[in-house]
Amino acid sequence: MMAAKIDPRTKIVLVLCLTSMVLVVENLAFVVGIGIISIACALLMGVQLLALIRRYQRILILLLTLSIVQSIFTPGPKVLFEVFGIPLLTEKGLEMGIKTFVRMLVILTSGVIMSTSNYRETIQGLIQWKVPYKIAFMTALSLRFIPIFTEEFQDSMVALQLKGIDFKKIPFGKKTQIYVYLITPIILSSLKHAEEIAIAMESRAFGAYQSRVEYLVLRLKGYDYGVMIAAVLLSISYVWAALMV
Amino acid sequence: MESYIKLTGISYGYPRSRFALRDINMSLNRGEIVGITGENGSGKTTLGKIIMGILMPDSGNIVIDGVDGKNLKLCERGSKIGYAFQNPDRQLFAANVRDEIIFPLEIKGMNKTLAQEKAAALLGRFELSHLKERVPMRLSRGEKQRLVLAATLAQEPGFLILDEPATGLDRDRKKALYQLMEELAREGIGLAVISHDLQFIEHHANRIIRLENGKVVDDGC
Ligand SMILES: Nc1ncnc2c1ncn2[C@@H]1O[C@H](COP(=O)(O)OP(=O)(O)O)[C@@H](O)[C@H]1O
Ligand SMILES: [Mg+2]
Repeated sequence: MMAAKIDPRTKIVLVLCLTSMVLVVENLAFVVGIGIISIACALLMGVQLLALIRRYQRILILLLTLSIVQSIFTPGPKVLFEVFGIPLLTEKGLEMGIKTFVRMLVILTSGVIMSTSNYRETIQGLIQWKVPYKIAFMTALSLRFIPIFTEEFQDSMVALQLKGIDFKKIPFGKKTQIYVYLITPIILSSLKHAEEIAIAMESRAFGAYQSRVEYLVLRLKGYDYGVMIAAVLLSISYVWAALMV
Repeated sequence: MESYIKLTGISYGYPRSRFALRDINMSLNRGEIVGITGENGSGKTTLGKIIMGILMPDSGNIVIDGVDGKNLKLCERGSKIGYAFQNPDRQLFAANVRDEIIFPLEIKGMNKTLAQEKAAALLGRFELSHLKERVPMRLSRGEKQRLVLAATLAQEPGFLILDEPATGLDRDRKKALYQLMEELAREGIGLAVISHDLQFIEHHANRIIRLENGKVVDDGC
């Protein structure tokens, strides 16, 4: 499939869109929607679904178990299932369980999408975007640690609300602005993190030579731009729609 | 005196953890500096988050400024109580220092000039005016701390909860921060300050609440 030739930078944009969407959106139907979209994206990128399930069998089972554990015993007004009068599964619990599962699934799928480009290509892509080599290296590394961002993201959501911002009552023209404010700290903190590790690497003489010779040169094609722009625009409208519900 | 924040019989346990806050009762007043202290893991941060409504108690009641906490949404609590996270990076959003204060005001519909005036006054007060074009994330720890305070106060809360605000500050910076706190208290704002710092606890707090393993073991002067 032509998907194999998609530039790693396009994939980075796509993955960032998917993961930030799934973290911002709270509405159950929309979360599940993002889950389906990300699997569709993975398939379009040439990921073999069956091979994938087999490869990630253990993690999938773990995710599923975690979600089930999260859903039972979560108190809520509507009890769906009880044993000897003890509420075991509530509607709220079920909803939380499904959301947790889908969120983790999207993050996992994002990792899989990134791994369809090799590591070296990802770094090269970033360098060509004028990102310094060491930072590019670290960013490529941290893309594999996207889950850590989840917690930071939730704190940011809370902190924004504490500033008096009601997500349900944001004037229409300001929704995108809020979205930018939400992802800024995450991008900055990951860059900062990357920078710190870069210093640690430098002290170990990583990058002792100023200039590097690149064997590999990547070129963004028309469809790369198409996919990137579409991904960003679609995500923004998706989040918009979800916040409006 | 009518207390600003009142907790009765608060309990809270994290989903998969043995730790729990148990039967917390306390009243917090405006104009008073309360030091909340205790060992690592004794539940100080958890208590702060419960009061803020970031975590919902399993049982018990919180009344804030005469309103039942259950009826206050997160976005409404911010104008009653200001909260500074243990890590200031978690609450810095804007591309420059001035905008950090202005953007929430504007989103809530405040007039642009008014918001700018307010920001200028707060930045002046917290000695941040010379940094107003800088990127908040790149400030020093102490500057970030002050910016978070300034941004929080823009909402004119009656009370502040500060989670270990003096971490990473040198002695002079700490002293300046403590003086600022006393000034705020004199203006009638209440402060609950989570802290390990003995200097603070002994010299600046009007009252000390000590937590141990999720319980209040000491609440006195
Ligand atoms: N999100 C969480 N999930 C489960 N346990 C937690 C969580 N956050 C904190 N804890 C546990 O709760 C206890 C109290 O934590 P905390 O309130 O942060 O203490 P302190 O601020 O006094 O150091 C600790 O034992 C900690 O491990
Ligand atoms: Mg703490």
